Amino acid sequence: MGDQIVQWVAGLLRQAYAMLGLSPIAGILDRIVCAVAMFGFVSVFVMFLVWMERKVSAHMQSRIGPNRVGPFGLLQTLADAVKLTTKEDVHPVKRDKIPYFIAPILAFVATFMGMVVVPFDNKVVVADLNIGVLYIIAITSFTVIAILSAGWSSNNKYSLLGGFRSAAQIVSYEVPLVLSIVPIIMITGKLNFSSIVQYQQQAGYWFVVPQFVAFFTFIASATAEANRAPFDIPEAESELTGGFHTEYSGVKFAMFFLGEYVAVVVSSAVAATIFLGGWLPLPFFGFLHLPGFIWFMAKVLFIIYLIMAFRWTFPRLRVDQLMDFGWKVLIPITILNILITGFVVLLLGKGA
Amino acid sequence: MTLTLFYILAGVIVASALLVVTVRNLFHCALALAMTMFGISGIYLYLGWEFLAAVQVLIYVGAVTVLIIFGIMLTRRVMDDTARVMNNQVLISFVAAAAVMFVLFMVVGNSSFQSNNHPPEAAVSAPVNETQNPEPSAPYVDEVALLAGGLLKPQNGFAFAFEFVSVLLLSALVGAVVVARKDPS
Repeated sequence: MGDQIVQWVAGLLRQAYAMLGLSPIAGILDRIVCAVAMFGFVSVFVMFLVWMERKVSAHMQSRIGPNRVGPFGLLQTLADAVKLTTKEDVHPVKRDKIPYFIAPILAFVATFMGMVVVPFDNKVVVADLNIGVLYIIAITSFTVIAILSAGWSSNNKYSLLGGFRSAAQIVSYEVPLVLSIVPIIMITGKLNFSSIVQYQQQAGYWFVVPQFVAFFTFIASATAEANRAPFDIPEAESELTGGFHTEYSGVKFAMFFLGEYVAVVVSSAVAATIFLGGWLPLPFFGFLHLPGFIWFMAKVLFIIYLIMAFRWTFPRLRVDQLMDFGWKVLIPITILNILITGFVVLLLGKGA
Repeated sequence: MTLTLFYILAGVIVASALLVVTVRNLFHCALALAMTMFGISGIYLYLGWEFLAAVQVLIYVGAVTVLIIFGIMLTRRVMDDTARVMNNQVLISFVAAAAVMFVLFMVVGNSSFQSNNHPPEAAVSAPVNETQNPEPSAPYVDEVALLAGGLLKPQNGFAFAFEFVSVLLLSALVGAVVVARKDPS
């Protein structure tokens, strides 16, 4: 279903290229169209998520949430975006100009670029890289540099401290994040997202069943990677006045803000793909014959809801508790999980 | 077309590498270093070795450069522009750099660089790369399996060294923790 739609769109594009006389560079144009379409989708989806976040938190606190702009307050984020983009761009005079300018762009783009290797449906993916899992881990590591640049170039003690905390947290939690994907790679022998989903299809189970420990550690460390509550000590309003983006305003602040949500989308999409079977239908619900991308989006939204619910169910961790949880709880669990998975794979004679 | 891409990448690498050694602000140097490393991973992608490119970004941008930035931030004052680019060891460091460069040129000149093609059955969303496959002569190699086999297969003789390096790194990690640990008293 999904790939039929893509084929149809591709056919339309071919006709458009032919009309404009651009057929010789169709390959490059296809890439550009894919990238722009993904960018548009992610941007709109993220705006929806901001609304969803406010609605979820309102629900958890027995409030109504945004309900003024548009039906159910759906256009609230649009209004906020207009407000943010038309705001005056206030910046510190003694800033370090180039890093200050680059940091928000890098933070947004680096997280966004992870999205292009996630398959939305069978054969519906912008770039089906062979090493997709590794690519996401690699490209999102740019966010650390972006956050450090932002903290440093603002020339503000609070920003610098926030940047340090944030970078230390991301570097620490990247270890359990990667280690919780390793068992899946050991079982499937593949680094490609589509192949991992196809393996789950053939095996008849989702990896969340045998690897629920890895699923838990992945979600926990992904929440920490995105600097979200209960791991949002880098932003800690009460002590750091907002962390590394204290000195940013207007569009630049919006890019940091949206980048955080894009990070949530990317982590949820990865979790939905490798643990919840990506575009595969729910067990016993295959008779509905829904297109794969609807199942995929439903799973992504479910995980995003989980991450949003965490925010209002767990108290914020102190810095030392944060590091203890990462290094003394999550990492030993993931290493033990890798060991056990290795033994089982060896005993069953499966795997690559 | 593809050659133009190579020249763009090479230009970015050389320009940012020059920035690394000439800019006075050390933090800007570190950012330029990240750019250089990213450009080199672009060269790997240009040759079709995706795994190598991803690992290059992961290690050199995500780890080494971040470590350098941490080092700079913890040892220097904010907006400190006073790093000296030259000192009185210019001559001897020039000789050392030239020697390293000579060895590298020898090694590079003697090795044959092969590019890798994209997998033939790659499921791309749109039927994109039917027309653009510049060198179909080079066969596709599963580089991850190739690398893993080369490192870990017993007959290649690197398995022991591989494990030994892991133990070495582990002991370095433990040593770092011991050094950084607060005195219990």
